[in-house]
Amino acid sequence: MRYDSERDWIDAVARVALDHLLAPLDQSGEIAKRLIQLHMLMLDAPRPVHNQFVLLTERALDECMTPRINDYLAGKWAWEIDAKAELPIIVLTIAAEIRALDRHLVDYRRDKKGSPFESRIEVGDAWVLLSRGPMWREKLVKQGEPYRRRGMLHHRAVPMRVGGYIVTLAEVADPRVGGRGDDNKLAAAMVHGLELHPSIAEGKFSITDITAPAALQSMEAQVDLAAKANCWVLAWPELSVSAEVRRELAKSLLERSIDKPMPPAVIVAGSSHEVCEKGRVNRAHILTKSGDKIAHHEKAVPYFEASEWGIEDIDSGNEIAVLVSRGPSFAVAICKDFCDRSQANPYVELDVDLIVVPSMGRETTAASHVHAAQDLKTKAGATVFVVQQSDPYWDRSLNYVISPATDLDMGAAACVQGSTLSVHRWTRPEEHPT
Amino acid sequence: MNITHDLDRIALADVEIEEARSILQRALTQVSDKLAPSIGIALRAWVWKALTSRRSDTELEEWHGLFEQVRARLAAVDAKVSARIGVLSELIYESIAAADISDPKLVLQRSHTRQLLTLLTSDPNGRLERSHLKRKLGLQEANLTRVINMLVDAGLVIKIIDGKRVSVEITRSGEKEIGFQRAVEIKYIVPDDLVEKLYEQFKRRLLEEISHPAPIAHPVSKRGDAVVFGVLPKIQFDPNAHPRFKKGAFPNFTERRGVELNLDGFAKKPSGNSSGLATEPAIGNSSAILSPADLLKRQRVLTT
Repeated sequence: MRYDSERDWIDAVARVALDHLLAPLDQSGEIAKRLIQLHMLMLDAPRPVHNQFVLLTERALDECMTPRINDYLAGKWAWEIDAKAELPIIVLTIAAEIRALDRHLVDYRRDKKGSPFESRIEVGDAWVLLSRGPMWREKLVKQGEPYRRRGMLHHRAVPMRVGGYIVTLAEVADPRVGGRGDDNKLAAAMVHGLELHPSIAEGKFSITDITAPAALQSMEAQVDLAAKANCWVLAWPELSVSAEVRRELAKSLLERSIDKPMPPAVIVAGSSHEVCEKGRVNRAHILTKSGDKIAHHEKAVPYFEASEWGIEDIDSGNEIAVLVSRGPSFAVAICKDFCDRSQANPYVELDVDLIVVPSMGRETTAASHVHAAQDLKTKAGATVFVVQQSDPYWDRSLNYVISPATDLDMGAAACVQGSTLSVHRWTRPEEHPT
Repeated sequence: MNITHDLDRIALADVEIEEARSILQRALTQVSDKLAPSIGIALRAWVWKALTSRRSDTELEEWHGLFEQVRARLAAVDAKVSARIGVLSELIYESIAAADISDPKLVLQRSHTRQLLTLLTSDPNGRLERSHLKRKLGLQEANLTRVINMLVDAGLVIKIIDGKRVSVEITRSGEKEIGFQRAVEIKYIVPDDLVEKLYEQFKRRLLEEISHPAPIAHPVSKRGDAVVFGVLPKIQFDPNAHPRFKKGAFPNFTERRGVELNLDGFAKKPSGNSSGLATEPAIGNSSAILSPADLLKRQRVLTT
């Protein structure tokens, strides 16, 4: 429920404070529930509240948080707001309470090691709290940043429904991702000589086959290069890998000699039109280094081309998979899922670090991705990795890659990608908030 | 080279990861019903050594990847061994996760951790009972457990369980992390009467002057035939800087900081060793042997 008036919001805060009067049972679930209650209050707060939050200094937050943690340790949980207090005081109180619960919860559950995926806390059926690995804090938090970027430091709160989509979680059980090494690299692979075989009828189109010369051998060579470069992620573009070649790639990954460099932890094997139980879908498969499937993503927003092809004949996906690693969390979007600017971008609300976007299109498509990437960065602090193959019916030479290192202010022209495999560094934050 | 012999080398943790890759690749190319269990056994032994040696280096991430690759490859050959290797790789992951959260620097930023370590340093043996810590820190039972576990994971304290009594003892790393330097423990063997005099005079003066006299009120302990008056941290007190002492009353203090303050380090040996010189190794980290003349000089300084 979004609050339009400050008064309504303050009343809601007071009601939550009453809810928190008693100590929680000694269970992390209840602490998590309180944290989510406050988190939702902040997300739904009216604009003046957000304006005040932006002004809060990290020092003020820290100074108000520490005594609260000591209170919890001494069994004092109640907090209150003075209804007559100024808005900045109320915002500071609630923001510090969120920080204190966030920090206390991570300490409380410290003995639960393993992966963040294994130690996730489900709060009702609406939210999941995932701890952020201490070696990976994606945010260099500072005054001036909005609540979404620095509300919680030790957890990410992932909504289970966002913009009408169901959010599912999958684990990237490869500790290289988000590890202590310095190599955070992403590889973008393009397909040389790509041919799409469309079926066009009644203003709709589907892709019945995707071919390329020596497709599997080329992909294996690209895996080798990405492995040698020590990349975490390797992604191919939208509609660039047929289902058959993708299955062969999975087999090849499994049988790959283990004395060769290890393939990337997350392999987004392009996408293709597949027919499944629910109909035809544009599906991207996400594989491990050994070719096991981690998850898949089905395109939700179909492509539309007015002059000849018409609309992409697919059943829209209704799920977004969030891939949880020891460090960053990822989501996958296919082309217009991410860059459709006519609708609110659901990926802004996911609280993930990186969106991997297999795409196909032209310069205008790349420009839309750049705008969406800028918006995502400003609002949520997340970054994108767009791997866009040129529309083969337009200009085969203009492939685009938008990486975390791309200067988004330079626009689409700065993202043109010449080689069939490029490696992009994802710079790690220099400071880790404690 | 015989593959069984090479697998043994992995079991002994005697190979670098690159060599292990090559050995395991050779094993997988000739894998059979008999060889698959041998691979599992070698990897299990490797994991055991990694765990017992508390490995937490970044190479573990590579080893985890290697285990996962072997697990996947063996799935079609021997599902049982493959599943076992899966569990082993989870243990490696657990070690990696433990290393992530056990960075002493991060642990010491948590509430009450530094306070607990400081409390432990107030004890001459660096060891206090859990119930005492609970009282002093004012923490609830479960919260104290978490604070102690954090410190144990980071190797800053150890838990000592004696029946129902649980004590916590600071480790050398714990002392180092909070910048605590335990005084050099000195064992002097001097005539009984001189020890008594020194001890009484020094104790009286310091008890009067130090606002927190607790540290020097340690019970005197006996070790063999020597009497040891506990140990004071070097940094506890600087008499030259104290307003109640004459400036320069302790001229040798700076260079002999540990010695001068360490009145509790005096020991006496009730035997008839009239020379007053220690002839046995001192208790503690290092020793200092003073002649009776040195001790008398010191006595003059103390009684000035």
